Amino acid sequence: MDILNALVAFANFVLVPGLTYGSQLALGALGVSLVFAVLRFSNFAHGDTMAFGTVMAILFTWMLQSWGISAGPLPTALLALPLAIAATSVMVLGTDRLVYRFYRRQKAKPIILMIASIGVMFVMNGLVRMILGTREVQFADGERFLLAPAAFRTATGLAEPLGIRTSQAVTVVVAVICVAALFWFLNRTRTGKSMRAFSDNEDLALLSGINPDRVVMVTWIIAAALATIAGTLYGLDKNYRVFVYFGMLLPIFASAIVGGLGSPIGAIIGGFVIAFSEILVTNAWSKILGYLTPEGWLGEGLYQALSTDYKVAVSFVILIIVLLVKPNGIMGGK
Amino acid sequence: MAHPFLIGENMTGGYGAVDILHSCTLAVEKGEIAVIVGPNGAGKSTAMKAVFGMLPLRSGQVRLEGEDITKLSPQARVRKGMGFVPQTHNIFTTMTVEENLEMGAFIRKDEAIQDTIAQIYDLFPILKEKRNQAAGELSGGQRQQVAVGRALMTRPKVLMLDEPTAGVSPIVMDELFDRIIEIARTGISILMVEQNARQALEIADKGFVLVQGTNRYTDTGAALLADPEVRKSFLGG
Repeated sequence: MDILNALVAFANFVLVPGLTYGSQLALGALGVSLVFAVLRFSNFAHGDTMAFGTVMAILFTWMLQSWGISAGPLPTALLALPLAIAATSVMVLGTDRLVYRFYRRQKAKPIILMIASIGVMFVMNGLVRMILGTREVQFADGERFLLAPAAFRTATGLAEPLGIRTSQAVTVVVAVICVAALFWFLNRTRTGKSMRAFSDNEDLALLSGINPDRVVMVTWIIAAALATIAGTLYGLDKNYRVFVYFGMLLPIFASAIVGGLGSPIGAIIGGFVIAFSEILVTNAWSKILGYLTPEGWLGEGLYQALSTDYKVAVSFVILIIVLLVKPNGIMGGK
Repeated sequence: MAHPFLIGENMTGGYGAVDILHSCTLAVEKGEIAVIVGPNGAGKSTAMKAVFGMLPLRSGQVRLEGEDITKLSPQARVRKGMGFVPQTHNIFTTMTVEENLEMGAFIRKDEAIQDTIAQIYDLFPILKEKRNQAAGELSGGQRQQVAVGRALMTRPKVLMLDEPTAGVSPIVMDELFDRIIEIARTGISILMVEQNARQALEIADKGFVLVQGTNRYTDTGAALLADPEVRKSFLGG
């Protein structure tokens, strides 16, 4: 029995990656949930909006690097974020003007807007591939580790290392800041409240003199910002590849639906539920269990429920269970 | 009364090809209460929506303080000083009572919004108690108070209420009617549709009895209550 080493191994292989991935999913799901709450459709282009935002962040990162600007120990991409958010906002507002506004004016059903968003998804996916191709891009710079595994081992004398990469720490900190800022905006500012009012009761919001065009515009800008930040954080953590972002759509939608579509708190809870479920099911537990059981008990097995290739299946299964048992999601969305 | 404060005159129109209103006239004077009563399907709510610009009119006019507002959108009429409380979906259920009131004042640019909120709390003390509670969690009568309060936040000259007492108990109904009288005493004109015809006419300065989208009887509330014809046909004897 070696509880301490087991805990460190758990933190290293489950807790830290789960918090990081959960934060990324939560930010993505918040964007999906917000668009659903205000514009009333499931935006399938959100994954590729994340890819577009990340590409913008990569381009601006290279630009800053070529000018010799860096953020010291932190990734330069953080400095590029505001520019990338601005570029993505322009892109998303342009899409709204070109596509969604037409259907909104026609008072089209949500299903039609959803299908339109699938079209937007393919166009955006192609656009992003034209810019950076399908290759893998590694754009994280600065210090690699906030807490290096070797340093942890020498400091504590434990057999198990614990490493916290800078990108992981940055992800969690940025996500907390974003969520706090978003909640402050929605609950404390006039514009934020008018967005909630519009989402709650559109007719009454119009009667109260709330300008729908403004609400829609602000919603798109926030969705673009969240998508860019989520995508960039994911790219810093894992590397950028356009198809991976396309594939992120499923866990992000699963998070938003599990938490309750349209509920911001639900999106965050859903993000962590999905992230930790994926990691718990696909983690190889042999190492952690090895510390907790007498030597030789475990044999050769990895004690892994599913190969990591199947982690998408985990979101699917949770999605189906939630839709069967509690279709409105944990926080009771729409 | 050459110029009634608000009048919808000879309104004819409907949602589609078929007219619901046939030359229907509704009017209210400053600080008075006008009540629209009539059987189900008489077009009471439709007539009021027509006054508020939510129904396309084939002919007829709506005038506020002598100004023709027939072509204005409902939102533009709010800015002109008209407040409207729909029959259903008339509050933001997920927002707190206070946020509901703040949203009611969205078009106001002045600094005195907090004063108006304080006045609403004086009028409906229970709302002050529940100010930080989600409006959707309140009882039916309290929700109606939030709805009326929200509409009052623009400091309207005319308040239009579509069946404010629908689905509330008789005690709450009396209470709401008392509040409506209080609102009218501050100089705000009230135009309301009511199912509870007898009680409504008792507080009405003017009553309009509509049948099949047209005016059947128009008189003071007291006169309508005393009219044997009206009593027999619409007030149950």
